[in-house]
Amino acid sequence: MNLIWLKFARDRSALTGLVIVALVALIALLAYQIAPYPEDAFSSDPMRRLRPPGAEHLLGTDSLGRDILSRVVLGTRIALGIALSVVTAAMAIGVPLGLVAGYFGGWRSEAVMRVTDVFLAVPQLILALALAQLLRPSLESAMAALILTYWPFFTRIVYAETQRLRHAMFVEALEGLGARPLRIMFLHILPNIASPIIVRATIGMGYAILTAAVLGFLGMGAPPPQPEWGLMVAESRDYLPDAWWFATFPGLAIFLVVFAFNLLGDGLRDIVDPRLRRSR
Amino acid sequence: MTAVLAIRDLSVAIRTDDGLAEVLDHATLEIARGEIVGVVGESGCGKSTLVRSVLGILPPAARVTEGSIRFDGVELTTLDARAMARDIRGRRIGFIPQDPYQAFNPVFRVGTQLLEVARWHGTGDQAADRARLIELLRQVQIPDPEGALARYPHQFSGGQRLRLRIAAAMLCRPDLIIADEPTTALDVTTQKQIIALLGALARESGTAMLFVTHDFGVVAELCDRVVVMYAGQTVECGASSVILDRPRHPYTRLLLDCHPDRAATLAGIPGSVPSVIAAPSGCRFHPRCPSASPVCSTALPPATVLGPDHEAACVLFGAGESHASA
Repeated sequence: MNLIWLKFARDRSALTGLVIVALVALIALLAYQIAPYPEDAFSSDPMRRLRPPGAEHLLGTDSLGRDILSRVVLGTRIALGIALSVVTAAMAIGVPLGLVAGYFGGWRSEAVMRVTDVFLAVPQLILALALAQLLRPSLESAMAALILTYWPFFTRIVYAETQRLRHAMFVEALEGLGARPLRIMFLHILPNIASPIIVRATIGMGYAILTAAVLGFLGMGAPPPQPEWGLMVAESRDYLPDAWWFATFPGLAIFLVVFAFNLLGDGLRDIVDPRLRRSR
Repeated sequence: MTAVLAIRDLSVAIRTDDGLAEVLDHATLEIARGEIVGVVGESGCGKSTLVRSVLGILPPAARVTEGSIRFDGVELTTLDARAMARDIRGRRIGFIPQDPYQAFNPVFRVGTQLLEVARWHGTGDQAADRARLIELLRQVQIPDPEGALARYPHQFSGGQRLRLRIAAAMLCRPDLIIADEPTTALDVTTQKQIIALLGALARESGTAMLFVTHDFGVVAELCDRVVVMYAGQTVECGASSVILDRPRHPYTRLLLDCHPDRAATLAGIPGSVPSVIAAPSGCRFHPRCPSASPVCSTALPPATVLGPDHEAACVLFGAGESHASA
């Protein structure tokens, strides 16, 4: 355990990722305390519209006179909320399927893995758009679409790892002493493959935030007046390039958070699987 | 003689991409209560498949095609998987797996893993289970049994891990322990100590044991009786002393000649164990057998009684009294 921390601490980019992610999580938790104008999530004030960054509004105001800093801070709650629910749900679907397919093999693995292949063949953004259109654009439909496109990644990893461990001697020892398949899969194999799942989940967080922002930008995600980053960038389009702050700060927020999750995910992967070490 | 385990004419086939592999072909074996029986043969002779058939943990592609396995009067080949896991495996048949280094889940403490076994089998009383386990660890000579339970598998040597596995196998006081080449991965001195320990423990508790090995030295030290297998067929069985002194089947004789302590010149057996996909017909040893005759390829010879507690399946002894069940 200490060795892992040491290795991690020496990986500067992963550490940066971790620090940013921790900060963002803190901001999300305390959003209503940090945001200078928490009511600006929904209420507008036309009298102070499109003010440039200054002392009163550190990051300026938007076309409806709402404080952009407040909205970016409140947006972290939405972004992390989406990411966490999407990744959790995708894991809840993908991990058990992968375990079953990998452990039992035979027709079960064929069935699961072919369905997985089908889902992997569907372009993610297009499915998300279609679903959003079908269910009426909302955060929920965006999340549903993301879950539907992300679970196969968990299934594939878990399947490969379970297959590898399926024939490990300790599994045979467990079987030989009367352990049932479910117990072996969830209580013994799953803890052994937790690390690749965590790595995939971390990378998935960044992916979910990015795709949710894209959907918001296209008007297929969070509906106005939600302080969702993608939506905010979309609303700023008519005021560019004069009101540059309107688009820049929500955009920067997306960039930073996704970047941080990717750094963290890469760093974790390097620790978990040294064979995949990235070249620098 | 009351047999705790009686395997009769057991045939197991595995579906593979290249066709049906007959891994066991009419294997026969009997273990009396409290008796230690060794199963010997080269790699690929179906020893591990035999073990898995008894435990009911054959791979999904494998099927028992013929024969019976009776354990204490219960037919195991037709017992449903649930009952097998709940009542037989771990509870009435203990299992010691092949490689002690790999035989523990690396992420859990040893104590958790060992006590788990008792918990599945619903003994209910956790304090009693713990006391029993600690007593067992003392018996298998693990220093500081209390402390050992809190440690992780990698903190033990291979020999100690095997001792822990022995304790796990004995935890529920089984009638039979199946050991699948447990000492092969260990060095010779550790192996010797553990074999002695295992023999003493089995005799003391009156547990019968099925001990798979390819080492006749182990057989000589540990086993009352021995069964020699070749390519899924039982070729010879009998009391260890008889088989070791007067082996009759050509395969047993050649195998014994491979043992450096016994043979002046190490002979080896030309060729190797045939693939069980499209195995040789009749006696599967005939392509490598120095005494083979044309009849050998036509039919599996019946087991011939050669003396008290000594049988061999070879046409060389065809003139003798034929075994009733064959």
